[in-house]
Amino acid sequence: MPAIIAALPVIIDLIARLAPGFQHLITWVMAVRPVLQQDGAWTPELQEAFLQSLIKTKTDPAYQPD
Amino acid sequence: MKKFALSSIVVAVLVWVSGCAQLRPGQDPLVVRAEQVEATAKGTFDLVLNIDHSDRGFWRTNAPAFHSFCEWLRQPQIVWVTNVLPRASAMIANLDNVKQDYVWARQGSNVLITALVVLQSASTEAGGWAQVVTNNNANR
Repeated sequence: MPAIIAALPVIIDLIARLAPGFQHLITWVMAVRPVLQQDGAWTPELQEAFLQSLIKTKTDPAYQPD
Repeated sequence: MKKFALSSIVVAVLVWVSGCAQLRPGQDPLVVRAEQVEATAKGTFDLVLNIDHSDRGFWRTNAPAFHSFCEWLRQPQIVWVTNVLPRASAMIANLDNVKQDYVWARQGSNVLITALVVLQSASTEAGGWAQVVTNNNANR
């Protein structure tokens, strides 16, 4: 099982190359995968990193209105 | 369309292979659930906003409801008293604030569950739009 999990990024990269339109979907899977494996509350470091990722959206072009 | 079906199956298998972890003893399931919803919502909002941003003109013309939803997610909102964040991030930050208050026992679990349901419903709507537009996109 750990070998399969370790190979996931390579497999996902291959899928992205085969179907370029789905790169956003694959990014979503990569973002959600750790959620499935979460077995406890976030550490203070993870909490801080998550809040920083929210703050970064302030300057993210995809988050800017028309 | 075949590519989409194949990719969907592969994605589902990858999620299944990853598996779900059990909570460690002593962890509050409500806090963990709130964090899972926050992380999932962040990923889902990133997904739809990036899809829309990749060709805003196309989506504005061909899927105006989707583009309007994305614009709604982008509207600036005040959080943490003095900060301004896009609504997508502000909703997540709001749940995080309520979660912190719950952890420090300043709020009851009902308030946390209410905030969680609000974010979950927005995230589910975004997920629904992602499903719709990736299907349409596959047929372009």
